[in-house]
Amino acid sequence: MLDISLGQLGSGSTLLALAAALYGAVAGVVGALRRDARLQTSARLAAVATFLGATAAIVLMELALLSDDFSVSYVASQSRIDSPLWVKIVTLWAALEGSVLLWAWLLTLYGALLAVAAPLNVLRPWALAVMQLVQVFFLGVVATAANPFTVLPLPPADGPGPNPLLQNHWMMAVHPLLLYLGFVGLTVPFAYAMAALITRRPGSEWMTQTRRWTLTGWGFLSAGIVAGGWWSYEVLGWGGYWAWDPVENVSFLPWLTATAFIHSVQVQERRRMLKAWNILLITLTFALSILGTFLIRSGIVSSVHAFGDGPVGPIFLAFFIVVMLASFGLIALRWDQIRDRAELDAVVSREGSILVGNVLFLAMAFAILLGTLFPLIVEAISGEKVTVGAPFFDQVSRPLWLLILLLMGIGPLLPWRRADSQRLSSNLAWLLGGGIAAGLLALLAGLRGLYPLLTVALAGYNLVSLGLLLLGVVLPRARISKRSVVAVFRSYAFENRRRFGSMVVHFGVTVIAVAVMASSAYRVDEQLRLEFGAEVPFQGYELRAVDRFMEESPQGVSAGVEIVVERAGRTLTELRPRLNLFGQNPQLIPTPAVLYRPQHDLYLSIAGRLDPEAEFVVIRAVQSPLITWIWVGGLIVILGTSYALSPGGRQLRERQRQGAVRA
Amino acid sequence: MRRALALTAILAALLGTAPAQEEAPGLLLEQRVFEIGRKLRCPVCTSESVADSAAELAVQMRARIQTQLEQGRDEAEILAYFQERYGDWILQDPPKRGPHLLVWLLPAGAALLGLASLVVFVRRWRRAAEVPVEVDEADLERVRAALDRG
Repeated sequence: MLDISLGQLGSGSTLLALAAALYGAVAGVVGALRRDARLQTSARLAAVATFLGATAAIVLMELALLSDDFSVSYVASQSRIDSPLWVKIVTLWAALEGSVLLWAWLLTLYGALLAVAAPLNVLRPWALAVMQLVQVFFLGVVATAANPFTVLPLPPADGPGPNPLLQNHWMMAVHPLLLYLGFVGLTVPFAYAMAALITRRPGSEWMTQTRRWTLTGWGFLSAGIVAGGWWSYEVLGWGGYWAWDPVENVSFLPWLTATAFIHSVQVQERRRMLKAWNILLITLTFALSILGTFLIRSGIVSSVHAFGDGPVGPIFLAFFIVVMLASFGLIALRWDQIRDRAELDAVVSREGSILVGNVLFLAMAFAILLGTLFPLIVEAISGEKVTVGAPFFDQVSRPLWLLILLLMGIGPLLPWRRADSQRLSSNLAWLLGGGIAAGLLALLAGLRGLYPLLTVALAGYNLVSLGLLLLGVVLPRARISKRSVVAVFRSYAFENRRRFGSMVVHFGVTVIAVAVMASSAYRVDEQLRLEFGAEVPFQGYELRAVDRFMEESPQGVSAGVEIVVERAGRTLTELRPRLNLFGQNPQLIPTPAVLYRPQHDLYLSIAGRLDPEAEFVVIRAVQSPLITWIWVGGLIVILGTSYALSPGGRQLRERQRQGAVRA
Repeated sequence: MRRALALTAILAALLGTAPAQEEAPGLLLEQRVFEIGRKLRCPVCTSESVADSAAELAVQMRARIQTQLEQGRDEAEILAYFQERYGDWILQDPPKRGPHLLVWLLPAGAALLGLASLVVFVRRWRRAAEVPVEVDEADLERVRAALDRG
């Protein structure tokens, strides 16, 4: 019998995939330069081969994880025999080496899709070659510096298991995957942008080609960020969801530039402006996702989510520098073609509002990047240690968010080119009326403070804006066609998926804005001492610690308290906050218990230790108004994005027409 | 007249509902503890504040904040107390002096610079929009010929 280990097979598959990617990149470039169709086809086949090789590597890694093959280094350092099945499966992306492998695999998947499904044109061979070069980098890292398949000569009998924080919640299975899908998805428009520069076709062709890729990537990235927030809320035990932790920040930076990008591409599509700017934005988005990986993986920023060091950080930094030099060099080389000779009729127009919005998104990205790196910079220069924490980011980003909300309401109501002043002032009157009415209502309801009142006012203003947008298209059509408003609305929403989807997304953002404000400005924290059996009041609830419990599972030990929650004499539920220990890991993980309610959440977690002898337990109780609506809003954003992407309406008919022509 | 009535009604409603919130003094104190805790870094944690951390040291620091509040100290005094013991590093906000001012000023500067360059570009683009497109006779002739043919 041949004696080949899973580790060797895995390394072999990675090397095959790497070789195929390298060949594909070279063949693609030469094929595109010589306009050699056979070489181009060969590059496409190589993309498929790369995908197959990377898939084999993923499958082998999963096999090694599931069969507890501790001769494979990654399994030995990250897995444990007693972990449940789902934990073993997701251990693939629980640490650095596996994550890079997963990222590489997703890149090869998108590359193969591009090779097979993207329409043939001048851009495709170059875009594919750029994708393959990125694959070469990632697969190269997997094959060398972060090889998860290294064969251990003396395999241990068991491993330590993945980071306990990751085993604590099923969300962890989803959150990194969504983020990677987002980052990789946004690599496609970057590749096309580079192709556009290389082939001297900086028009809007590359953007319309990649519109769906961009929106898909953006949707996954948004979903990943919201999922990460929910994971923090359910796991970290302090009742919040966003701590402005460096790792959170660096995942947020590409989102900001990508959001600016999906808005400003519309200006280029409609008005042929901003060619250079759009290329710059997508380049920044891609580069920031690489920079983020460097910051997280190098361990130079301390963070709750940072896992492991190693040589991978500097390698990503080098790649970041190469990407920046290459793409900016290319931009400079083609500057004459992409320089804007644009015309702008009026600032008060759709394109004007998008331009200002772009400045705000970029300013926010700059502030967050600066705040994240500032402690490093100061320490490198003066050796002094400073902290740039959540209050800084809150103070800096809040005014920018409010301005963005302001633009989000007025922008979509403005026509392209130039706003008709009569229409504009009537719209503005409605918007301001809605804003002031919402602000006054909030004041009557007892809200105080500039930030909460402004947020509610802007939410009202945005709701009026959405109403005006819909009525503005539905009412005239209903009048002309004599159909009912509902019927017109339905056909409008069905036909104009992109436009209607964007309204849904903006609605979701409004919901999130209010929920973020309410849950942070009106949050109540209390540390409670619960004597067993006694009722302790908290914000209208009666909390009664009933008993301690202890559960043992193959995964580890979990100990906690059963707390009966009553309100007005009625028992609502029993919450079981706990402390978890996983395997041999000494780290105690407090796991909160949450009562989700639409008006506010009741969030309990055990503070400090759980003394088995004591007559009482100390609990951290948090009441956060409306916090659930952050997740609901996130879901609305995702639904809106999916709706905008769904084929239907005009697109579907166009495709049918094309099909009919071809037939 | 009617407008004046409406305004008075609104004002009355506003005044009537002004600070109606009555909270237990203990809870208020506790809120202050967490508020101040959010401005301090937990020394043994990775990027968590004293308010957020469940670490024992953070719990002790919260207790210390509470005792100091009970002794009548205000927020600035309590923050200074911790700053003296742990250095500037303990503050979640970088101190607003010396080179640290940069982290506060640069974001605002970047936003202003962005808007200013936008203004410059917009001016240029608007001037471009005002200049009528120049077409020379030869081009025009070519277009006419193409149209005739089409």
